[in-house]
Amino acid sequence: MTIQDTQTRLQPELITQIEHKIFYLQKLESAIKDNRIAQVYQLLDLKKNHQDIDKKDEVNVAENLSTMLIDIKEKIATFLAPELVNYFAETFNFLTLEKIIDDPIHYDVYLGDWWDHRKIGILNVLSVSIVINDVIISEIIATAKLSEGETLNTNQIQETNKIISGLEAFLFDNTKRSLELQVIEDQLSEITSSKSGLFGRSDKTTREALEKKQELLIATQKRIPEVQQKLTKQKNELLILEKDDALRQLELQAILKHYENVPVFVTALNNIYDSYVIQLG
Amino acid sequence: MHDFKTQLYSKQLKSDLKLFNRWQILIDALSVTDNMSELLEILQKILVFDMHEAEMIRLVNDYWFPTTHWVTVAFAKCANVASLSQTEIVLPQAQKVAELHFSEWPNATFRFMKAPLAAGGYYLEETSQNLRVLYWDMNRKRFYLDTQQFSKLVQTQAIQLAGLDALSIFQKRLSAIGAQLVEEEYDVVLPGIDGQKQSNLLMTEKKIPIEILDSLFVVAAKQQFILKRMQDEHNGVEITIGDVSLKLIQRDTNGGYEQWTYDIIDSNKEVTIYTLLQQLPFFYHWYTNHLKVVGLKDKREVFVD
Repeated sequence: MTIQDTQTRLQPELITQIEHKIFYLQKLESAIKDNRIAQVYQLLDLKKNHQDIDKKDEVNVAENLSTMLIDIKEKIATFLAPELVNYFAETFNFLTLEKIIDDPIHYDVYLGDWWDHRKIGILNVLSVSIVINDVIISEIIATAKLSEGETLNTNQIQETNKIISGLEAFLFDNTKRSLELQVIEDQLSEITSSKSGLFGRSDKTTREALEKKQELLIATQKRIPEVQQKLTKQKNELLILEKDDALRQLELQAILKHYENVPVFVTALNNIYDSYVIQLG
Repeated sequence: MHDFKTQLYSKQLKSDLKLFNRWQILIDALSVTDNMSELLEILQKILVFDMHEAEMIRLVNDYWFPTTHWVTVAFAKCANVASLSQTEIVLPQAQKVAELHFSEWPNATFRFMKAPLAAGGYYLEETSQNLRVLYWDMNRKRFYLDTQQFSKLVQTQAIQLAGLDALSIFQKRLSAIGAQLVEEEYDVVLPGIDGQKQSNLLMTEKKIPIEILDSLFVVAAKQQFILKRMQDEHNGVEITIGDVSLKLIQRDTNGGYEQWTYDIIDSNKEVTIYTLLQQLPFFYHWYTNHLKVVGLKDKREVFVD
């Protein structure tokens, strides 16, 4: 078989494939031109629209075709984003979307609009899908199961508060210790000035007892900077625990204001492609 | 033994009488004047008046009063002119300094104390808890609010009991006195007391550590208030309390650095930061716990303990 024969044999298939690509690009061009957003999504990812596709092969073809768009994906995302962001804001008004710098395809999804709100996922504008942070969701689900007034960190908070009280009491007692030390110093100097003439042996015993007490008090006082440091550390830990609890409570309240329970909310997030494309018509 | 010169005796007596005549004229002028610049002038003359120049005539101790007393009397005049709410001067039994009673705060009493400063000046303070309200320096023409102690004062029981209207009346009174003193070329710094000026109130520190905002978030959440991220062009956070918003904003200054500030948004322009400190215990505790960072910036250098 000559080279020409081989070429002639392959030509129809190749031409068909090129025609597929041209046809695909023409359809996409037309959809973008006419602002037919739903169709744009179908063309970008036909896997999600099986009802429009009769043969499995075509899905694969389409997958291959969409790889042609790799170099303009970001521009397509910029084109599609406003409509999706609007839909998102209306449907999930307690979630906040934030653009990711230099990445028009993805948006960070935050729960709530409060201070230090947590990122619960990342929205892909091209696939209209959210990668959900399962850790956060499971925390919220666990919080929902607690009885009123209870939080995930209740026990740890109680423990930390106990430690803080102990450390504060130690620091508070320092004034008492300073006074006691002063008294001991006065007593010692009194004994020294009496030149042990008056009480003889008992002076020595008293002095030793006082010196021992003095040593102990001084050693305790030396621990103050360390205790202060520990106190600061414990207070910071308490703040973190309380903040995590506060965030989870707010998150749960926000979800339950809109959904029956947390799993229903998660399902809604997972079904965002369907709900979005359906409403596009 | 030396000669008794009747003429000399008479001369000294005349000089003493003249001195006391000047004193009487000053006190009389103080009692009748309604004019601020005149009042300030009289007060300054009273403060430098040296009764001990008199050699022969002496005041009975009961009728001698220290300078703080006369400052109190003069301030009461300013306070009365500045508000429809009465200010009374009361001289407690066996005391040398009159006390002030502002009728909006019937359970609180105020007095002036000498400031322990080389520059001189006087502090107005509440008597039961010794909480300072302001510093008044007649020589260098300075009139400053002690924002730290005033914020504590508004949380005391006596002031709490009197309620919001009383606080509002008192703040307006101080603002009005301040406005009059500005006309007398005083440097007046009364941060946060004017309901009309609740924007861009500077915090003591330019930067707030994240942990301090975290703690505001936590204490607010415990009381069902939500510390929200600001939605506008500013970097900051806000809490909505009914119709009022408390905003903590990180602003760029002309000097090229950032400065945290408070803005209180109230359409009626009545609510001040002190109103919120009085009404929101969680905000007050957070504020006083981090006073050196988030306290309102004031003329700290004149407030010495």
